[in-house]
Amino acid sequence: MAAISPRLAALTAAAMALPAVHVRAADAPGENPWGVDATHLEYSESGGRMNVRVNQASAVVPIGESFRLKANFIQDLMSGASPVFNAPGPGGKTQQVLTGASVFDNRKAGDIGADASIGDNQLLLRQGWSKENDYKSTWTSLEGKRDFNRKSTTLAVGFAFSDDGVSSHDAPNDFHTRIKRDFFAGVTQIVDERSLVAVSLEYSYSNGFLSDPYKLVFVQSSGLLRDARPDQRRQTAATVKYLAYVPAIDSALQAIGSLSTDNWGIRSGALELQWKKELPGEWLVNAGARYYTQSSADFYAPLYLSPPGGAHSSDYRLAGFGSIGWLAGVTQRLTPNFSVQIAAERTYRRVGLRSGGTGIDVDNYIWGLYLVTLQARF
Amino acid sequence: MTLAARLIVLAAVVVALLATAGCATVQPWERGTLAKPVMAIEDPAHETAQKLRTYGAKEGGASATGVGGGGCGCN
Repeated sequence: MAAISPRLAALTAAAMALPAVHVRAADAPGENPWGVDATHLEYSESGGRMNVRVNQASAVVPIGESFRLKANFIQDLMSGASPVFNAPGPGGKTQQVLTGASVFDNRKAGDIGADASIGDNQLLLRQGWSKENDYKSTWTSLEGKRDFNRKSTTLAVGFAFSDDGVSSHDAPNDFHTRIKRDFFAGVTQIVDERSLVAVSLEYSYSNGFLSDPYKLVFVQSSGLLRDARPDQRRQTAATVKYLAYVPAIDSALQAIGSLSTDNWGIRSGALELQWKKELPGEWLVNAGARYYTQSSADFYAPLYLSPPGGAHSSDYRLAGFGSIGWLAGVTQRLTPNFSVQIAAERTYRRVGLRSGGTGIDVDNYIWGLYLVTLQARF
Repeated sequence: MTLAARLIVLAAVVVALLATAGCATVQPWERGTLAKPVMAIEDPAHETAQKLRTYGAKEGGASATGVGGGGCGCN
């Protein structure tokens, strides 16, 4: 075996200390720092529809070299109007019927977790809760990661179980059960000195009450019926993420593509492209666009002529539609320990961008979100 | 073959190709560019979580973005 020079050995040791493929920009203070993040988000929809304010805080506490405890808290304040059903309007044109603007809910959610790193292996266990007036959720997730090939390859697998209860403002104590199981597997690979790729696959199985208690359908021969969806849903999704550094523009380009299908007949695709660049003074900026398209569920219809025999829904989220949106962000590292991040996204939903099935123009709307995050690492 | 089965086969093929490509390991001292902040493969956690929750509440499709996080009565 050839001897390695002391200089090469020292260089190798120093290089091995570089973060692996799951490098994080703000982890500079150390390999296992204390961390506190706080985020405020504002979400709004056009046409006087939903407004959501989100406050989120999280903390990471290292214990020794290999263990970390995590805690996360979220509060959502929701208000505004939401579509309930579609009805024939003047001149035979379908119109959307909304709730009053008084819908208000206050959701509180939190989770705690423990993370262990042993050699090239990492294990994360999380337990979470969520509660609002008409929805409660208890969930558990377990994720494992393993690095291979001198941290050139990371394999991740995960499982989550969520036990939810759904009620409505009319019968707040009458909860219906909804169970969801998620199975996840992914690989992140260093392709070369300037690019990374991540491929992942997820399968979800839900059963129980999967309808929306606030949605109705309009049947022309008999009036209104409650939304009724199948009591089982199987979703399969694949996502590919590619990130490459381009020296000619001193920037990174990122592409994320996703495909999904389910047993309700919804097929979807998404493509997001982003440009990321560092600027002098510890600035990092990013900008991009996202395109999304889906076909409608097999049982979806904007209106029904006669009472449907099986599942039925006029929920605009199960219609055929697409969207195009832009997103942008800026991160400023104020000191080695503190950074602030601002991000924005604005999306235009359009029925004309659907990939199959049916939808109606009155369901089109625009949503936007803005968020600010303060991050501390010690 | 259903679309779900095709997705699984496609992902398995890509994973196998990646595993093969992984044999040509990029040496640690060649990872200076990969350590730049713009090359972080994971976007900021809070931003990612909020965006995925928004997509999940407003779209009927799914994405393979990892496990964890409870449901909500989002309208």
